[in-house]
Amino acid sequence: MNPDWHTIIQRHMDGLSTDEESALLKDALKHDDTLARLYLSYLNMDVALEAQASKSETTRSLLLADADREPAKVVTFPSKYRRVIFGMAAAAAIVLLAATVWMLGRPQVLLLRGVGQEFANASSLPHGELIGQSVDLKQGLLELSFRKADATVVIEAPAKFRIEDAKTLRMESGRVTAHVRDGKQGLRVLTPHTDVLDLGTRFAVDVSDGRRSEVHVFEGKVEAGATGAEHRDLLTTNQALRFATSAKPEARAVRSGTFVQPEEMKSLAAGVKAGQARRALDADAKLKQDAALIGWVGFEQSSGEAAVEVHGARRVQGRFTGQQALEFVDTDDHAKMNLHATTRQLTLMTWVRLDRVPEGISSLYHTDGWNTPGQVHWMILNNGQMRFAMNGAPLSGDQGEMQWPQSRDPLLGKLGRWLHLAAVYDADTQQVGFFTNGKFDSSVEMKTGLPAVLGPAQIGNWNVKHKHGTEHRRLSGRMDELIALSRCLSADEIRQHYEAGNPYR
Amino acid sequence: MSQPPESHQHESFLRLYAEHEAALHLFVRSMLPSRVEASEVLQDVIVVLWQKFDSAEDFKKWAFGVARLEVLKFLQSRARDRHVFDDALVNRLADMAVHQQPQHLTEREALDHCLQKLPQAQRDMVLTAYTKGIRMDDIAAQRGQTPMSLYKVLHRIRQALQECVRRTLAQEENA
Repeated sequence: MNPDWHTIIQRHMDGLSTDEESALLKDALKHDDTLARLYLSYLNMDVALEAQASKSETTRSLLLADADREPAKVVTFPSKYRRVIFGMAAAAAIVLLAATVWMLGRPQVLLLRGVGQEFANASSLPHGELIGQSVDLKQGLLELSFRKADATVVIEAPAKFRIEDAKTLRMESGRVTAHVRDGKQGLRVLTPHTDVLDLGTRFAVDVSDGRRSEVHVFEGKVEAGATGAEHRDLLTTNQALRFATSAKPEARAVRSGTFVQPEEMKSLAAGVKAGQARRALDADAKLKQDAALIGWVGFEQSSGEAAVEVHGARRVQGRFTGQQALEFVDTDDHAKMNLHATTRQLTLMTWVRLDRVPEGISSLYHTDGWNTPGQVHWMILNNGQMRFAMNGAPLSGDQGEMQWPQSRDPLLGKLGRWLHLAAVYDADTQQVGFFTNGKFDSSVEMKTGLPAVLGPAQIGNWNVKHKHGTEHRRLSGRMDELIALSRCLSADEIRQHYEAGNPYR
Repeated sequence: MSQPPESHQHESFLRLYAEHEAALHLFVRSMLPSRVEASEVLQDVIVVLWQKFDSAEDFKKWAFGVARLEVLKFLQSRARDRHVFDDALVNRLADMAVHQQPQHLTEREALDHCLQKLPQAQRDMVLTAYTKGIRMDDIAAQRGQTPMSLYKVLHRIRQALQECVRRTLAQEENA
């Protein structure tokens, strides 16, 4: 009996086809021209019906719709059917961009994309020319195109800004990352403390702390001076300056990892549309029910979280709109906590986005001091390897230059975007396993199997006095979540937690 | 076409984009059966075109080339999905879509006529199903049906439209 191609094609178009139907269709389309023509004919009809249906809606949606605010809608059918994602937001987004092009003539500055954006006093940005617009972005991310300056910028909430003209962005507060393809045109960013002129580069301006503005150059050149001052500095790749009121600029370490880059926007937007925020919440809720949970810190100040005492670090936007992370900037920024646990099995997991720290160690979780057998220090070394050190539990046998258990693959290439890290310790097998973005990296054998002692500890700055001075270990970047369990999660469980909480698609 | 659009070329871009928008949409769709995925990729295609446009010369060929690359890039990220076609089949369908373009324009005209011939209730149902932001399970709930039974109704209507288009074009040829 011949397959009912009319039905199979339509089921495939609607995302309802079973694996067998899809395989059958795929094979037949490869050599059957008549079937391929029928298939294309159905798709042509689908596009035409979509256009027909939107005819009466188009004008209204062009003017009113806020494409990326509309969450993706997911309908789940019985398991033999695929999940069908009705992300109409995407369709609206294309209409919006086209509409901007059509209806408003020659926009110099326009919205390219948004991720979970919410505004203080408007439901959306105008779809078209943004010059002259003052924006109070409460949540989310916006990607704007400054056509004349040949620049793409990403603005992160909370932010107040105004598009002054085709090449000038005034940031009252918030953060902006800019990629200027051709510095001949010069994008200018003004803040209460500084005046930045781009000379062809990738750079960021941080005005998230009202007392100061920072300029970070990742590539190329930027000219910056204090507001109203004649003197201007030239910043080149990997340089940063901090401008504060009535003070000369102070050189800072460049923070490349904490600013959202234009290249991330597409996959972050896709993550939102695919409902990743909901999946992450569901995964967290499931883990919170785990009897082995020792501590869960989401930095949301919500009930059920382990208490943290924050020193210097600030709450900023996390992986998803409306969720918070803790940002560590200065050397002594840290958050104190006490998990009050002693356990023979331990899993530590976290979501971070980190700056590259050329020297020293990035501290993820350090128990106080270093004098109690079983106490734990979890960190990233300057070569990008993750280390899990336990006092009194050195490595088994000769393991070369390695002194404490360390992951194998360096993380350096993965910094500057959200990253999931996990370390799993088992005193019975005397092993530590490392996982990056849900993937097993390596395991290392230790000489003894002490129970892990999780007493007073800190995320971020940890210091210890030596006879030659004080050693500081700091964290430069954001941490969105830290989870500790008194059991060894399986590789599958870690992968699932990563996949559910991954903001990218 | 590697430079961004200059001011004086903007109108040229608008005109060319308008001229080829429908064909570009179908071209992307020919490679991606999912309406939502096609829209997402088309959004990226427009952004690339917008940023890199600098010449009206052979716009269509260039735009289709950009679209093909964006689709293949998207499909690479979904390669593990067994419902996704491989690159060779995607390219075959894309080539056929380009070749069939005049035929598809004729079919669209016939579809307008066939849509008008549908009973009112069926026409309303099909256009509602294609309205932005409307979910099939919401429509199904309103009608007291399951989503799957609603899809079956939609499939029957689309098949009837397909048949009507075929008959209409055959009659025109005979005339």
